[in-house]
Amino acid sequence: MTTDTTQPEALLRAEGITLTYRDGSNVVYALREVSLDIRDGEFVGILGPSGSGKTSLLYALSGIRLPATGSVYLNGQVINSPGFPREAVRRRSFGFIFQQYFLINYLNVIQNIVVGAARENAESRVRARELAAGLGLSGMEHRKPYELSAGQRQRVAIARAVINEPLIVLADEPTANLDHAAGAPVIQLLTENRGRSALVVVSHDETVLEGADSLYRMWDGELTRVR
Amino acid sequence: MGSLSIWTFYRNNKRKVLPVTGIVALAIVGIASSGVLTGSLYQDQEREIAFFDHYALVFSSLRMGLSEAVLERVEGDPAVAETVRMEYRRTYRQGLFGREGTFIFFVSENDQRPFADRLGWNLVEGRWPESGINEIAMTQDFLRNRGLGVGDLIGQAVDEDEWLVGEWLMVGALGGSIIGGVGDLGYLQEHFLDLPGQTEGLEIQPGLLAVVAIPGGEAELEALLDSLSKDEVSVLDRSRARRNFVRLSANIDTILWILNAMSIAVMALALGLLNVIFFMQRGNEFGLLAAIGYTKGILMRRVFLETTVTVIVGWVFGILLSMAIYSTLNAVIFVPRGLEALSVLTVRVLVFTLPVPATVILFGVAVVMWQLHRMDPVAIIERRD
Repeated sequence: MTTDTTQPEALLRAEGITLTYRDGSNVVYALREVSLDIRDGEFVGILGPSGSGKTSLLYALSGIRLPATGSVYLNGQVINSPGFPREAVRRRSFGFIFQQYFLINYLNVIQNIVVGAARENAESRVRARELAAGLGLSGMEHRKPYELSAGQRQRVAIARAVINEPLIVLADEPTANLDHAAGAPVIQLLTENRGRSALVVVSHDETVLEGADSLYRMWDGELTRVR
Repeated sequence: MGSLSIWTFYRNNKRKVLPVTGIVALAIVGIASSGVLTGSLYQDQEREIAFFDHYALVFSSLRMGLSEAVLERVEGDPAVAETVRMEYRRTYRQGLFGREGTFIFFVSENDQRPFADRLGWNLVEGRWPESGINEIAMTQDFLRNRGLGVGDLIGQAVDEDEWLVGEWLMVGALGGSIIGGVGDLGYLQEHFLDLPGQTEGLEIQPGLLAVVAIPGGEAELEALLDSLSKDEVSVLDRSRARRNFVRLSANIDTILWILNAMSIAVMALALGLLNVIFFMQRGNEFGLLAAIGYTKGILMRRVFLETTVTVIVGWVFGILLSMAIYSTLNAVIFVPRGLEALSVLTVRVLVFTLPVPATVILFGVAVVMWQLHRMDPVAIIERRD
């Protein structure tokens, strides 16, 4: 494990990361020399069209995908180094909201929320109930995903992402499957329920990212700061 | 119960899990049955062989009676402690797979009690057969099997399907684990002598000689019996009887194991593929869990436990179902008809059935483990393959 003490203020730092994948015999760049700092509790918005590399950036930041070059630091520790317990750190320190809700079909609302907890116990179940209530899911605790509307499913996914009180919540197009009216409250719920977690939201819809502390634009694998 | 516990999975996926459990249970019933039924057959054979723990038998090969030369040679050998001149006839008892032969040994009145004592037969009801009369005493297992009792008649004269010639009065019921019975040699020789060659001069020659070795003289006795002319006599002792039994059981077991192995292979393949289908149906679940930080080790352990518990529960249900089936068959059919009660809880049945869960778990889990090992959570999250 390497410790970088030069930038202690950054909770999550990406330093010149490049992410490639093969498409037949071609190497496609999903990320090109991307650098980014995310501070504690910060709301970072990443704007860009489909295929620009937004989702790939989330994968690289969380260690789901390892960059070909560059490093990702979490609290100063390089998370893309060999032997680093990426899964354990991901489970403990990151919360995820995917485009698809990815709820487990045979589990009810509370059980789906608890899946996101680092450890399932009475405390996590109580917190899951509190989150469900806070997200307007009272009375639906025992419903299965197929008994919920799209908006309700997204709320379950939000609760699952924040139950662990992670350091960072990564949300990939969280409103993509919702109409505009349903989408705005989702971001509001997400910001309200994330506690002290930093929040990174990627979206192609600028209005979703209006409340972001800092905004970036992604284009063809390159990241530029907007504000 | 935990959200990702096996119990939660089963409770919420009954329609998927129960058919698998049911298939395993039914397969176990089938395979257990092959073990139970052949085990019962072997048990019968073991009881037959038990006779040879006490006596070796020398038969006249030509059914002409044993010659004086053979009798003198065997009876005079220093390795021989005791001989009993006798004849035998066979009757039958109902076995699981049809009628099975049962020996009735006809010995002289003087030999009757020592012979029975050595075989562990004791008089439980009635009396011993008397000399010069058509009487026999049989063991209780035989009587129960045939529905006969003391005072009943047996023989072709009263039942044309009977194997035993003539007409005999059942005068005694004997206790003991070896199935069979005794009758009077003199009466048999006088009334049912098969061949004229069995008389040598005026003396009637017995067709059978039971022989006991002196303590520690078994090897010498075997050598003596081996040295007898094969044209004149045939010999059946413990080692020969056991060899025959082992040959029979090995042949049957080989066939059974081939059939069982085929059933197990087919089932392992079917359930393994079913496991893969379940896994594919649950691709989103595993992809999500891997993406949010569950290690592949945790996911593999979960798959292993789910498969193992499903198959073990199926095995337990199969054994319980077999026990229920055979308890019912024992109560309704076998025991009332004098057949041995069949038991499912035997080492043989365990040895036959345990490879089923073992193979299915190995195959089913291995296939899914391979899928999990290759799984890319991003491909699932982005719905790319």
